[in-house]
Amino acid sequence: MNEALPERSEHEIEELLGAYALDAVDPDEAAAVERHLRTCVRCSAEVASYHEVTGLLANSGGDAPTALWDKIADRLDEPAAPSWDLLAARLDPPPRSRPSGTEPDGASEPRDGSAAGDGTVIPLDGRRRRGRLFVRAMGVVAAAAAVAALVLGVQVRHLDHQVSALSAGRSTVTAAMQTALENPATQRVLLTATPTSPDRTATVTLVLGTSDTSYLAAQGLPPLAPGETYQLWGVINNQRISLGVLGAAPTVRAFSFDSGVKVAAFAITAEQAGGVVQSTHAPVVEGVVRT
Amino acid sequence: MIDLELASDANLVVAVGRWHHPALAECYRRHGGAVHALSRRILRSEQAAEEITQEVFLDLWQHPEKFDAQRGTLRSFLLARTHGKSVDLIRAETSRRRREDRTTRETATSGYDIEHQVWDMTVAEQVHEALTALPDDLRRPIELAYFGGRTYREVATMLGEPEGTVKSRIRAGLSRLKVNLAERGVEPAGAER
Repeated sequence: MNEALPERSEHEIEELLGAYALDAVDPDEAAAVERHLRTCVRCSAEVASYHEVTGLLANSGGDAPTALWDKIADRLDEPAAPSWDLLAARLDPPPRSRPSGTEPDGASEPRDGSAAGDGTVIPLDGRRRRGRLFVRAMGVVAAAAAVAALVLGVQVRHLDHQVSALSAGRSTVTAAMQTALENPATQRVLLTATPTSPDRTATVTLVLGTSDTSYLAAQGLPPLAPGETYQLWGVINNQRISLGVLGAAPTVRAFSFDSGVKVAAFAITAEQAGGVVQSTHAPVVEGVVRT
Repeated sequence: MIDLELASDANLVVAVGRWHHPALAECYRRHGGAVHALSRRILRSEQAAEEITQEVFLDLWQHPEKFDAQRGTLRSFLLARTHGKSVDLIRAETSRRRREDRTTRETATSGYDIEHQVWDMTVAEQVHEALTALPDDLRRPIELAYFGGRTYREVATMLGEPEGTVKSRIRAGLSRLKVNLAERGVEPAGAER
């Protein structure tokens, strides 16, 4: 963080690991430890083990407060979420039908929430709790089992509707991405802005289908100057492999990707038009693949 | 569709990654109480604890990829985030108060109080035993730093010990505590999921 400070030796870093795990170090020390942890598996494991220990020390909470969950649930659809909410809103501003003030007890609802509709409150379960938690469906008439998929479907249709006016080709891509999203085997990877990104709100969502074709939807990537392009990279066996160039202002793209290849992370860089074999630029957005 | 109650924490987080509200609710049901209790203990404010708890779960909703099931349990991940955010808040608050009132008493006494309050809540007896089995000079820095939100430098000042000594004792204490817990057969928090 503070570049003026001398690099600490590995021994000094190791001595800090316990205090770091307790958040008991100064910011420059925390930054130094974090730099070290990125490349040191042994020290990462040591910190993780301390977190397990402190988790036990703290493990004295009672039931989760039900009223507090309601506050959290109310904020899940805030535009801060780097999700399709934002993407859909940008391309096709509301309707976003999130009704408020409809919170019946819902105690008689079945657990699968099969009657869940607009603003319906879905009780998750009452068996093992003294309190009761509720989940609010997102304004889609849907079985709770399919809430997430349907919400995505609706939002992608918004996207599709808007994009189709601009480009039939893009519309086809969007429709195909929507189909991929509806497949439960599809994997989603969220790439978020890096500290060096010109727009810290930029996000890119990758939709990795079971076929060889995957999809990408970008939001907030600043358009590049003529003669430049964004380029997608996959980190495979610690190597950054180019997966294709995306143009100067990508929104929705399909790209070829063998779903059998194990990719640890994805990143996007800004490069000269045509792309490069090896990038020397820091990623604009990046994200790890959860296994 | 996964059965949320039977799902592992890792599978819940994958479902959270697909914007599945009920999965986040289940994460909250399992761990919200511990998150809320820890932040309230550190901050001693119900309102601040609620804010931190909301932030922790909204972070999980927005960035589920930050949780790495290979690294540890969801419980310890959430509690580490909770601790970090709570400590940030307490330090910002402390520096604000210091700026506002230079005469504010900033002594070791408030820290020592914490030591006696650590076990106010119901804590598993074995965890309690494992901690109390530590020698005082290893146990005290951990309690002051973890529950008091102090840096090791502040702890060193409070205890009148060299900073390097406190730093080493925290590390040694955590390592010993890990062994003590293992000897008592205590599993990491949430490991049964």
